[in-house]
Amino acid sequence: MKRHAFTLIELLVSFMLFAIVVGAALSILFMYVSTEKKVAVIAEEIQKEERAILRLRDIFAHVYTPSKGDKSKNQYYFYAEEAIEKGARTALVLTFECGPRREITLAQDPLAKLYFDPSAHALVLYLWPNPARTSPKKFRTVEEREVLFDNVTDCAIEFWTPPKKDSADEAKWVTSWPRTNDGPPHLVRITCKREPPGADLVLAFPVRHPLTTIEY
Amino acid sequence: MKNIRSKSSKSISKRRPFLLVEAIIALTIIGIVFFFFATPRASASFVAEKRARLETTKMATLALADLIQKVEARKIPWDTLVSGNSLNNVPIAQDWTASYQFTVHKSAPDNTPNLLLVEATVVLHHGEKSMETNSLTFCIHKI
Repeated sequence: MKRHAFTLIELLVSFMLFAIVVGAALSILFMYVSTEKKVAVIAEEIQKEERAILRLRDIFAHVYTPSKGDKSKNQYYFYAEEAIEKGARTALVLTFECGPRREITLAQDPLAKLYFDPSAHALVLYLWPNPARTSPKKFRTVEEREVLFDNVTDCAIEFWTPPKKDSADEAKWVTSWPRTNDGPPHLVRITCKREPPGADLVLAFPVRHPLTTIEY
Repeated sequence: MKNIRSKSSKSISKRRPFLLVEAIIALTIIGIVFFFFATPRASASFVAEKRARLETTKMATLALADLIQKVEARKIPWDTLVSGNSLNNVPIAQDWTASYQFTVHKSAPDNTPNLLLVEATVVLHHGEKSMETNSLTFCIHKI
């Protein structure tokens, strides 16, 4: 049986087919890699946001709430101030009980400031040791600044406390919580306007309070 | 003799196994098609799942806050709380509703009538999905 060699046409066609198959394979491989990168970035953003929500929930659940006659009451804080920094809006300062968690580097019952930083377009949580509760000999002074939410264009922090029984007043959300108030509110609501439009964030957290009886 | 040879060669060519090159090409094409269809779908469902979980976490905070507001402002009737009924279709956000299911855990002792420990379970509803998210325990006292 006589075997003939490939003709030029056959070679050209086979090269072309090979190039098409390899090109398609490479383009799909690149698409796969870039999609994986994009997915990883989006997944990380989502996880970061979820971690921030759970962190805030955890902090508000461990806010120090002084009991009546507590002598160390003045060592703890929960107040919201307008324009605590130039350009900043409401900033909330509070003391929370960290317990055996990661804030242990900040010593006992650290202070936290939650504020909108317009220059960074972010809602920021700033932690530092409570000077009234920390012995400088025992603990290093460590400060932590953590960006909780990005792309924030405006932010409001509101507070709610229940009305007294038989009170004619309706309980309302208020934007200020002065230091003169007796203890923290029962709920904190954080509203962040974000870019792009439609990505706004509304969160509400219960603040730790001892189990009280609701009278009817 | 020629006929016998030609017949045997024909039968061999019919049963010829795949060449290695052919098998590799076939596997490559199958792989390309698989990646082309599978990867974007897997990524989309992965991101959608994460987003849904985040949205549920956000809504859970709002629903719990709403429940606390209603309970502490005494907006829920006493009878609803003590009879173990539910409060349904409470709007939380667009396309999200919640229902609060009440369970009385501790009946009143003799010396403190109408003092009850109630557990409220928050169930979020989004479309046809329902998710149990939080619970809140509180005491109520009818004077």
